[in-house]
Amino acid sequence: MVPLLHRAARCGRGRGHSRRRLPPRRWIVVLLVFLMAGCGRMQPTGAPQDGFSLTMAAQPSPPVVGDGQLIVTLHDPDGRPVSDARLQVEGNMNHAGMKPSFGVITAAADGQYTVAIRWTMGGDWYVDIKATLADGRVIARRLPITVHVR
Amino acid sequence: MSGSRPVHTLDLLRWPILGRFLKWRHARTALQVPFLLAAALIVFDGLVGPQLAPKNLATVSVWLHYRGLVVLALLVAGNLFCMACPFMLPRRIARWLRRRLWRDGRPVPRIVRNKWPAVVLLVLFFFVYERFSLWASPWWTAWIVVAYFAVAFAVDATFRGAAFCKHVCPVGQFNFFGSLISPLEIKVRAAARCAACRTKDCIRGPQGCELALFQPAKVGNMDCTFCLDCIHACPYDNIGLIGRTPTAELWTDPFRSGIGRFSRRFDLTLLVAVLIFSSFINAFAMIGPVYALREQIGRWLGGPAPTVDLALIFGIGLVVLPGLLLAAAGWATRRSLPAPVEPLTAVIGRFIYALVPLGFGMWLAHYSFHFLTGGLTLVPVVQSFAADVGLYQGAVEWGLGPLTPGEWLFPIEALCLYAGAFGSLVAAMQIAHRRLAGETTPDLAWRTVRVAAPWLILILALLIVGLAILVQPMEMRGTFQGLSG
Ligand code: SF4
Ligand code: SF4
Ligand SMILES: [Cu+2]
Repeated sequence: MVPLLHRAARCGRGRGHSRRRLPPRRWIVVLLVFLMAGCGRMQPTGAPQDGFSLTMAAQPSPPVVGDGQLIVTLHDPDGRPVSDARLQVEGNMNHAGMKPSFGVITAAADGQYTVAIRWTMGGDWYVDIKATLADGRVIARRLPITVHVR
Repeated sequence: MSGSRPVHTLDLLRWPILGRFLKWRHARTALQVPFLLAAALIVFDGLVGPQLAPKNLATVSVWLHYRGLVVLALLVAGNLFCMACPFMLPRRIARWLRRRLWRDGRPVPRIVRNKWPAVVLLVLFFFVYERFSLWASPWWTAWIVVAYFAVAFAVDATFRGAAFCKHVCPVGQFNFFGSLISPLEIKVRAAARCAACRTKDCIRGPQGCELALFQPAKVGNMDCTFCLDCIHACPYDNIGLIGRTPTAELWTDPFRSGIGRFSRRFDLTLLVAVLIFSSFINAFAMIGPVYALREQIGRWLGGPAPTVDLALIFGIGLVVLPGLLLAAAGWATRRSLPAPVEPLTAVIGRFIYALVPLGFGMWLAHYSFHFLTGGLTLVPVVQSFAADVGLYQGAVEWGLGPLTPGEWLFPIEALCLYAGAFGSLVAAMQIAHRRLAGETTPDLAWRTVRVAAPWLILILALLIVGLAILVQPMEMRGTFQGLSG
């Protein structure tokens, strides 16, 4: 049970609570819900330790509501561009009620991927980028971006 | 006997299946248990699920479905959320403990035997909600639910009566406020039956109303949780869930059992004012101009100050402006009233109820917007939840989202607001008309308009403000302060 709880402590945190330890009452809640459903729902999103650099830039910048583009850049730990990764890009808003926008990769060269994405509403978005390398490793990032109303 | 009984055209307790269900002793529990399970799932997913609001059961079901369905229920029926309130289930243990260990606990201290604690909590909640973007955090959403259970338990384990519902619970106060416009009311069927009743079980009996509403003198929905206790308590089956003219209870100011007169309850005036004006602030906080305004205030203050700039907006939008507007309208109305003229606070305390339909209309417009834009996102969120805990193998339909086409949203929102404004205009005229009852001047109609005029103008002005807010595209920001600066 205790290792499970430790995992809960690591996965179950909110934004900005990354290094906080669980106060006693939360342990009880976590314990109870664990008995109910197990750990399948957790999503570790800690700071990446893979050494890769995965960044994005919007076009236009700042992005506005409507069809837009993201330029995603991927470099390996030695700084060499990685162009043969399989990219999955998914944008979600910071509030409940909007469906995700999935990016479509339109070009890839020199470690730069051009992604078409539709910004369906103004406000704060999180873009989840998952790059699957040729050797099967997965590099994942969640990057924030603010979309403006025209 | 049945001849002396007024025939209420609409009494849900007389309906074949629904009526039998509601009169069943365990009806409330049967409604509460599913909500309790939902709350448990919300807490679970909020704490350990994906920390992304659109994908977490906690944020989706609380901020979209719960809020959307609550206002809808208030509009078409009544205070159904309180009826099914899951916070009241553990409270039964609290009540049992209190009776067992505490000799029924203490009475609520006099200084908080009013709406002040709720007013403070409501304002605090609205502020924290915006300041820390609670809508964006599954984790915080789960903790709010946990805190609700804990506080309800602690308050009701300590104090007698339904102290939490009546004096503390912000959700309850919102529901009491909204149910003022509802079409249903818990009410005696035949007054004559009560007059002949000796036991008064509906208030004195072991299942008597914990919110101190004595049926024969109960007026309207304020403070009524639709808990159905009184229905089980009355040995004569003399209480119904009865239809009425929506908003009509705002027109009069009789002595209400367990409450008193609205116009003499300054705390209640304040509660209603907070709920009316925060409907505008809450909607204003999610459109673009608020960020420009906050940035501008930050520049005046010489740097970003997210707590101070928001406090300024709240101070002006929820205290200064409402205070000035209400005082001005009350003062103008007071000048045209025939003697004896009541104090300004009583005039405001009387006419502010005319603004309730408009305030409710604004909440309805705003919450319907969220519900209609994202109602179906619950489907993929539940699917992914079930998939994560091993109960679902199918595809997660992330493509599901809106309940209505996007072009319908503004017309629906505007309709909510127009309907509210209409209800408010009628209420203002009705209140003025009743205040002038007994006057016999030939120009009575004109004088009624004059007495109501400041409120009619205020209602139209707020309608324009509301439309101006709703017509803007939604643009929720404010969660990246710690991320990207
Ligand atoms: S117990 Fe029933 S009949 Fe008696 S006063 Fe209450 S509602 Fe009326
Ligand atoms: S009047 Fe009292 S007992 Fe009856 S439903 Fe309302 S809150 Fe419950
Ligand atoms: Cu909103």
